Amino acid sequence: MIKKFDNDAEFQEFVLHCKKNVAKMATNGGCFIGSAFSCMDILAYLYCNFFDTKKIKNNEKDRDLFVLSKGHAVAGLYGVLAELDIFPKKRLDNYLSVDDDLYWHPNASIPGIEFHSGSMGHGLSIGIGMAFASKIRNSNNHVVVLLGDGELNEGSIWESMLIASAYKLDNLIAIVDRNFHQANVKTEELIQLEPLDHKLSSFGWKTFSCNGHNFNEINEVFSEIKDDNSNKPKVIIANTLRGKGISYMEGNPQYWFANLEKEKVNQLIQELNSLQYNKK
Amino acid sequence: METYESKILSLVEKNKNIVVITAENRISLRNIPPKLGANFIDVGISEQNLVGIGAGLAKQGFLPVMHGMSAFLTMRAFEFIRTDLGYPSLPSVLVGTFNGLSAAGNGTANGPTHQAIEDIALMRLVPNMTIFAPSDVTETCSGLDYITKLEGPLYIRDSNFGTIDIKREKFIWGKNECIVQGNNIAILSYGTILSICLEVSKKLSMQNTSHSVYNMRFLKPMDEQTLDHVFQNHKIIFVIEDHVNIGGLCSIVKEYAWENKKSQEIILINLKEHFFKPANFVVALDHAGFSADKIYEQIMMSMKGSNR
Repeated sequence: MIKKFDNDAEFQEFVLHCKKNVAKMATNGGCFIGSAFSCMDILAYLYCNFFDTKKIKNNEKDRDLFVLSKGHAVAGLYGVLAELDIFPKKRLDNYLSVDDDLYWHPNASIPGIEFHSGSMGHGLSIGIGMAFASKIRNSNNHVVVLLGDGELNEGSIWESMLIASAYKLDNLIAIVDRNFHQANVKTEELIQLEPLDHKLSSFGWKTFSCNGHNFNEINEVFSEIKDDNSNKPKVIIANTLRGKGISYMEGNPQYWFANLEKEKVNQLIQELNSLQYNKK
Repeated sequence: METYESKILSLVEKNKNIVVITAENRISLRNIPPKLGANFIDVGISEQNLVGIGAGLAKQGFLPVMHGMSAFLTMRAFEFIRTDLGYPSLPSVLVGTFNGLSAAGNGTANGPTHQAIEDIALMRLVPNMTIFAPSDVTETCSGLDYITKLEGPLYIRDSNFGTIDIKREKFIWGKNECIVQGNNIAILSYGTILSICLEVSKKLSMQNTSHSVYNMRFLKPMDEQTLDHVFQNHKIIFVIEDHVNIGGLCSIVKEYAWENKKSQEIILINLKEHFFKPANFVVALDHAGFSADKIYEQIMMSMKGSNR
């Protein structure tokens, strides 16, 4: 079903449902749950409030296009796509089965996945190609690419930043999931990205930032982007927490990836249920 | 005479889905960018993005024709080619210039940084890749007629912008050709070196040495029918290429011989594992052992040493 939210409470309720889908993938092989929960609100917002999801569902030619460049967070994307019935939720039971294509990184055979990913630093160039395609066709769709902050270590990302700016690709939106963590370490303790907003602005991108877990702030940023006439590509620094919503996972470097015992998953779902109950 | 530029321009005029992209490599595209309009994108010196952007366009139904110097295109962007074009088998064209001992643009003067002498090996590794190594511009243009029918990526080893003045078989996509038909010895080559082999052929004919010369322009998938013909009709097979010993035509022929249990003598003339000495084309060619005289000498010496 296609949803559109106008308040934080209902939105958060929806996100909790999506997170429960992810929790079920965090066992028997596991998934990058911390990374998924970091960008879960952004993903849910995109598909509920920003994209024309009906066109995505119908695979229409001028649909909005999304590339998950930080491919390892795909469990989060699958959680949203399944909750919106872009593919049947039952299909998640096939996770990590050889009979399907649901594994740790996105596969384009899954409805809603426009391009496979996994290797860092590819998605923005793919998105630029898609943005050029829309320009040549005079299509008004948006192209959105979600990047990890650790992914910004890749030089190809900065080549892409220069190119998108040089060609004034104003139909392209990049989102940086700024959780200050990369695979094993904190970003600022390895290759410092700050001041990130200055870096991105100086590359010619219109730069926005928001709390990546707050519906109203996300909503506000996307409203500004819709009204923007700057002819520049846009980038949103979404300030987030790795493992958002689960007390012991939040900001915990150990929970980038998790392969939990069944019992732990049940506890996780209970925690998510209780959050839901508290909201009510 | 049809040129690469005029061919590309006419293809884009007929098919607006073709997008010409370059990583600021314009040697074969000097005059046409303004005429191509929105169907031309120069991404600057960034081969990884050249291929990533091409993949994004291809995914949206466009046919990207991506240009770069072969060394940077096939090595710098290898992972993008393998993962973003090869794995999803996206119809797309990679046009690499300055490869092997490149006559075009006197490319041999560049030095090791620019030497693409492993490009065939690398592109053979990419799943769903087709490899086409034309020997002159006429052949390149004939091949370009087929790009709208591709079902996966194509690498064109675009090495020679001149034309070879010979009578040829009708061009058939995917099919290699026999240019000189004889028996006893066969010479197999492609690209720039093919024209040198035709000079060698004249020398052999003057000595009444019966031989054949094959243009092995399609390297992947290999045209096995032509190799069947080569091995059925010749005792000694010379494979001559401006490529390292591993992974190019020399490897292809050895693999074919092993798989088909052939016992002919196969003699390889290639760059072994060496970067060649940079110099002007004719000098570099001779120094690396690929001038007509040097190849002829090697063939004659091998013939003496052979018991066949």
